[in-house]
Amino acid sequence: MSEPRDPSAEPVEPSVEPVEPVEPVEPIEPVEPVEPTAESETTAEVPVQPVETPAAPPEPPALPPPRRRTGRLLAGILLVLLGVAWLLEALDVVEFPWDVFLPGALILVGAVLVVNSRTGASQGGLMALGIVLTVVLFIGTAIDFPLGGGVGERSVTPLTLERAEEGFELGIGQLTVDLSGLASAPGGDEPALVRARVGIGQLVVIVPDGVIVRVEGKAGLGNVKVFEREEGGIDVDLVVESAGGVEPDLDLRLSVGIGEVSVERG
Amino acid sequence: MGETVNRAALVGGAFFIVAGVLFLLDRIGAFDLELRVVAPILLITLGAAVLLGGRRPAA
Repeated sequence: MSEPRDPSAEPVEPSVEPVEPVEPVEPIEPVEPVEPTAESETTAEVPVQPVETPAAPPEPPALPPPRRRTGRLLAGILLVLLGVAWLLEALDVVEFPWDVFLPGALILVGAVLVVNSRTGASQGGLMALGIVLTVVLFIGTAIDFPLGGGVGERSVTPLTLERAEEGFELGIGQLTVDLSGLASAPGGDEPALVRARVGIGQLVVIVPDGVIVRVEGKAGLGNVKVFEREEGGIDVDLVVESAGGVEPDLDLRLSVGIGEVSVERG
Repeated sequence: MGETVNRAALVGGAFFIVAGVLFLLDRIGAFDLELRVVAPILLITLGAAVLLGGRRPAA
């Protein structure tokens, strides 16, 4: 503890001199802020701090190889072509060669499948398209279905042998071929060959009286009736030779997939 | 890196090519495909496709 001060002692001058009063300072006018310019921004020096370089990122996994779109492209083109051909034929604009187009499409599908098999990718769409085409063609072959024959009821009366020898066909319906209108009786060494076929339905052929004919009638499933002879069932094949073994004037090759073949005298 | 072969696509494609050629020849009249011939051929081909398609390539 400190000792108590003597009250008789002289007062001690303060060791600190009094401070003179300071003249008031004029207030400083506020400075307008300066808009930063691009130059100033670019030239401004930014304190650079040492940055630690991060470790190199791991390499991204290798991207899978781009999928080949050949299969989808081909399937789409074939479907569009099928639709367009179907529409044009329905509007009677053109008669499309289905007999060649469908097998050709199947070959093309097979070729693309073989080529794309190296990618290892799934080819389900093309496989399905190939199976559908195969089934359609198989049914068409099994029942001798004319793919481009059309649908409905049709009656034709050829007036010349040349027209008759071009043949007749119908997809689904009834086809009547009336040969009694031929202008002249067929002659010559060889009989005139007339073919007609119907996919599903009835085929009726009318031959003129007095003309010697040979008939070969087939039916995948159904009946074949040639004058008085008739056979029915599955895979029917009825051949009626000309009477007495005489050289025929007309050789008729008639077939129906499912239905009936009928040959009558006019 | 070895290529992965899709055997089903390979066998199926070969089958479609053969079938397409046969159907085409039939349609243009080169020869007559009959049901009694086509059906067994299809069955044989289908069996072969199942056998070949199920085989695993050698390691």
